[in-house]
Amino acid sequence: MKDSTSLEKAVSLRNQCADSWKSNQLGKAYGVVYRARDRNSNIVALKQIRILPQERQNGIPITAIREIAILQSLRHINIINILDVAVGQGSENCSDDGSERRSEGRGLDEVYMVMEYAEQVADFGMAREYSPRPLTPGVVTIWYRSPELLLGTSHYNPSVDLWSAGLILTELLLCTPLLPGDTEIQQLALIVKLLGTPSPDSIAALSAIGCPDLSRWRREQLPQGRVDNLERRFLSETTKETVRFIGGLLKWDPDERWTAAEALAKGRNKNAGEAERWWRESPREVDKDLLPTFPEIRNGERIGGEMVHRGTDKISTRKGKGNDGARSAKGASLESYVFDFGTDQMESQSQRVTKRHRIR
Amino acid sequence: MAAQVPIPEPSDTISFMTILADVLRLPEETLAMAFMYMNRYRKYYRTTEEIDFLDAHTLALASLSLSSKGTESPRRLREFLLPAYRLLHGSNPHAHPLTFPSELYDSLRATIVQAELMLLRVLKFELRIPLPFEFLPRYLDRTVGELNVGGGGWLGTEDYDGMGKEQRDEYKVARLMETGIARACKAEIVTALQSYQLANYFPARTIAAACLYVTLREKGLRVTQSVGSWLEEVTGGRVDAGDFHDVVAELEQNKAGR
Repeated sequence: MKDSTSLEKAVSLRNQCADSWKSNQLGKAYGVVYRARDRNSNIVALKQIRILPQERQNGIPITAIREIAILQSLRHINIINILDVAVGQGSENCSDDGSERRSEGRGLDEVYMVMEYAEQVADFGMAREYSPRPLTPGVVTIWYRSPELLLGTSHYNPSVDLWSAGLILTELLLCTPLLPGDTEIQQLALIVKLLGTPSPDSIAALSAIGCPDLSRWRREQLPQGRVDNLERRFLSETTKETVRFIGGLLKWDPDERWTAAEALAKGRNKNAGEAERWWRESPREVDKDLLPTFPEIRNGERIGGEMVHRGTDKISTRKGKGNDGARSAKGASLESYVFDFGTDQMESQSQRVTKRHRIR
Repeated sequence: MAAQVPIPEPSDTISFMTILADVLRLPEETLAMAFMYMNRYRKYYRTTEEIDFLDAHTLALASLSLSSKGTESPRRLREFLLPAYRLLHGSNPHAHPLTFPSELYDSLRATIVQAELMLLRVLKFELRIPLPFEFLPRYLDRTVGELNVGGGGWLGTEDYDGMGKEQRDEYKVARLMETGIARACKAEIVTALQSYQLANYFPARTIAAACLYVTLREKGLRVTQSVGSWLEEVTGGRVDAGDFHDVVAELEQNKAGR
C-alpha cells in the first residue's frame, strides 16, 4: 500500500448496495470500495480491484490496467477523478481492523485505486477503448446486452453502450429493469416482445456484422409477426419525445441506433434533431449540484428507538408526464437505486445527527 | 535430448527483447513501448537514491509483459518465460530446459510479477505513453501523401487511402502505413526508443519527425527546401527545431555506433 494513503476506517460500501443492485452482483463483480482519509484528511474512495485467482498468475490484470488508464484519461464532471494507484502483495500497510496484516505470499493480490469521493453508479471495470478488431464476446450484464451481443458477435462497436443507455433510461422511468432475462434466448424473446420481430433489413444488418447464433435463433426461436410495443409500453409513463428518444437507442440494427453524439443532440442530422426535441422538453437538464438525491434506506440507523437516516433530503425529479419535481409514490422506490455515501459519515456523531432526517 | 537447433542468441538486453517480441509475434508498438518503460525505469533509479533490485533481463521481461497489456496485445507470463529461458540458457549444454509446472518456473513467474509491480510504481500507472507512431500517419500524409493529392497544377493519383476494403483487396492496395517508407520509419522509431536520451527527454512528435527525416534521407530522398521550413510544413510548427536537430544527431550517432 502506498504511503500517501492510510486507511483509517474502511467501510465496505458493498454492504450499502441496495438489494436490486446486489441481484446484479455489482459489489461482488467489481471489487469493494472503501471510504478512507488521506494524509491531508481528505475523504477519498478506495477501490480494491478484484483480481481473480487465475489472473494472479499473470501479474496485474489487463482489465485493471484498462480501468486505470481510462479513468486517468477521462476528465468529466460526471466521471470520478482517479488520484492515485496503490499496488502490492498482501496489505502490509493497509488494514481494515487497525491491525497490520502480513503478506501471505499469494502473489499479486491487491490493487487499489484512490479516487475522489463521490456517488458512483457505474465503473470502468470492464471498459476498454474501442478498436475495430474482434472484441470479447458475451460482455455486458445480460439485461442490458444488445441484440448483436446476445447473438454472439465479437465485431461490435460503441453502439452496444447506447443500447444499454436506452435500457437504463427505461429503468429510471419504470423504477425496475425493463428486460430482466435469465438467458440469451430469453433476453432476445423479451426484446422481440418489446420491439417486435426484427425487419428483414435488421436481420441482414445483424448477419453482416457476423452474429454466429443468428441463424439458429431465426430458425428455432424467432417469433414472426410481432409488433413494436414500445409506445404502448411507455406512453402511459412518459412523453412521446421520451419514447422516441428511447426508440432511437433501442434499435435492432447497431448502425441505425443513435450515436452518443446524436443522443446528446450534437450535429445536424435527423436523429440529433429528434434528440434535441427531447432535451428541450420539460423538465430541462439541470446542473449536477441541483439534482435531487434520495436517502438510502439501508443507511438508516436506530437511534432512541426511531429509525434515522443520514444523507440528503432532496426529492426526486423524473422526466415524465406531470411529474416535474414531484415525488410520486412510484418514485419512492427509486431510493433503493441510489448510493448515498453521506459525506458526513466520518464526521463526529454530533455533527451527523444534525444532518439526519427521518425516513418517510 | 533432442538435437541442438540453431537459435539466435541475444547479445544484450535490447536484442533479447527484440527477438522475444518476434517470437511472441508482438507488434512493433508493443516493443517500442517496452523500451519506453525500461528507459523510464532506468531514469527513475538514476535520479533517486533508491536501490534498484532488478537485473537487466528481469526488467526487460517485466517491461515487455507490461507493455503487451498496455498496448492491448496481452500474452501470458508463461509465454514470455519459456522462450526467454531458452534464449538465455539454450546455448549452455549443461542447462536444463525450463518446464511447466516446476518450482523454478513458479519462482521465475513470481519474480516477474514482482518486477511488474515495481515498474508500475515507477511509471505511476501511466502506461499509455504517447509513442511517435501516433504522429507518423499525418507526417507521412504531408510528405508522401502530397504526391497523391496533387496541387498547383500537378495532377494527383487515385485516392488509394479512401478505397473500400473490397477494392483494396482486389487490387492489392497497401495502406499508407504499410508502404516501404512507413515500415522503415517505424523500424527507425523502435530503434530510437532504445536510446535512454531519446525515450526520456524528447517528445514523441519530435522523434517521429526526426525518424521520418532520417528515413527519407536514407532512401535517397532529399528535402528540397530548408530543413526548418520542411519541419514547419510537416509538423504544423509543433516541433522545436533545436530538439529536432538534437534527435537527428542522436539517431545518426547511434547508427554510426552500431
